[in-house]
Amino acid sequence: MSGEEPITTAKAASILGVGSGWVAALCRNGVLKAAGGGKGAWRIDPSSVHNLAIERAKPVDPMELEDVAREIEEDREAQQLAEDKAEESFRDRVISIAKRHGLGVLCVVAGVATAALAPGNLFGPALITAGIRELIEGLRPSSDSSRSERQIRGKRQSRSS
Amino acid sequence: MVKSAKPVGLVARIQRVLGGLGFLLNRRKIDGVADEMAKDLARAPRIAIIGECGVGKSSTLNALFNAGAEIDDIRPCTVETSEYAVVTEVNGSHGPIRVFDMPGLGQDLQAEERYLKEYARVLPECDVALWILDACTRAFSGAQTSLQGVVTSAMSGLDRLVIGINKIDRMEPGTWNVRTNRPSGKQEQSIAARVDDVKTRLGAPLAVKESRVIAYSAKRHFHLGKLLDALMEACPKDRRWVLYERVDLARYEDLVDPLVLAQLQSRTRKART
Repeated sequence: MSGEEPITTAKAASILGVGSGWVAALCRNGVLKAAGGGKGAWRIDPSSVHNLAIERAKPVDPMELEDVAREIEEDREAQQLAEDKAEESFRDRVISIAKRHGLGVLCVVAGVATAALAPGNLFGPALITAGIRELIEGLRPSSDSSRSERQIRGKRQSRSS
Repeated sequence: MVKSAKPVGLVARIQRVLGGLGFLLNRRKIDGVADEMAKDLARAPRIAIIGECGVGKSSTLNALFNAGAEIDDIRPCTVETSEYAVVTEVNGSHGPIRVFDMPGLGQDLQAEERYLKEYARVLPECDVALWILDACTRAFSGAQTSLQGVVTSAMSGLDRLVIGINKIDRMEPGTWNVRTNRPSGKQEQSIAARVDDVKTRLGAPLAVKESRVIAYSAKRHFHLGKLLDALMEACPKDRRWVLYERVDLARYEDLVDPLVLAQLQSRTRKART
């Protein structure tokens, strides 16, 4: 810090004509000489603010704009790739669990497609039947099925006792 | 106890995936799938962070999982202990991450064999490992020697390793462009040379793919997207979505001069009209 009295984040923001969020980020990253921090309470060296203000007053080179645009674009592309990987992972995991639960056969679309492509093949209608059965079961409230399961369990217990 | 309460939107997301593939499922069975997915999600991603003190491990975690702000909720992990690694659970803005803070190599040759054994034990248990190097120091010639002799034969889990070269904003000649939040031309040359050096001296002996050696700056939010993508690539496929759920990446644009961003926006508007 220079010998001058330190200034607040708000004061530095008003000198630079920017939001205090950007000033706080510059303090955190050491661009502005500052002490303190935490909840935006920085004590900033006024000379470093002054130097930055001079730097910012220079006209922006069009090449610099190109650089920033390219950087933003590349950053977004990389993030999109990461997101795609996450989506693929989610989808594969859902399918693998669904298959483990024995749900893979219930594929009506596959059944219809099979029936359409190979009319003589019994596999297609079987898939459709299984799908419809699943649909009907799905329409029944799940509490009913759990109630019936409880009733069956209850009957078994009373029989065994 | 494993927390398995289903996060909001999980069931709808599963329905979308299964529906899109033509699966026809009733709600009860979808709930069953969702329960298992919620258990996956409740298991915090495990990340090994390797590196000396001061390489920027904390700032990297902040930049990846807390939008750049300091993570203040850090608890020692009582259920897991390790001889050399410090195991903690940090609470990022999108949930907890288990961090294995591991000692770096290349400083104390006598300790290295012990460290390597610890690496061999911990790394396969982690979802991903990030070895952070300080861009401004070149102290890994010792590490290179030991890596060639020991690591490749003894270790598994290296397929999960990403090498990060942090603090590139401080590289010679120290002329980072504050307005564009980018390296100067001369710095770009130094960065490229450093990346090549690390790829040759560390990446090659460890058989780490070139795409997993990333130069970045956690504090400047620079190349974090690339770092994240490399981490996702290194993470086992079934755990990638869980890791991504915890990510809250600090934005590069946040540190670009608002004046420059305004000019960029106005240029884009003009180009459109």
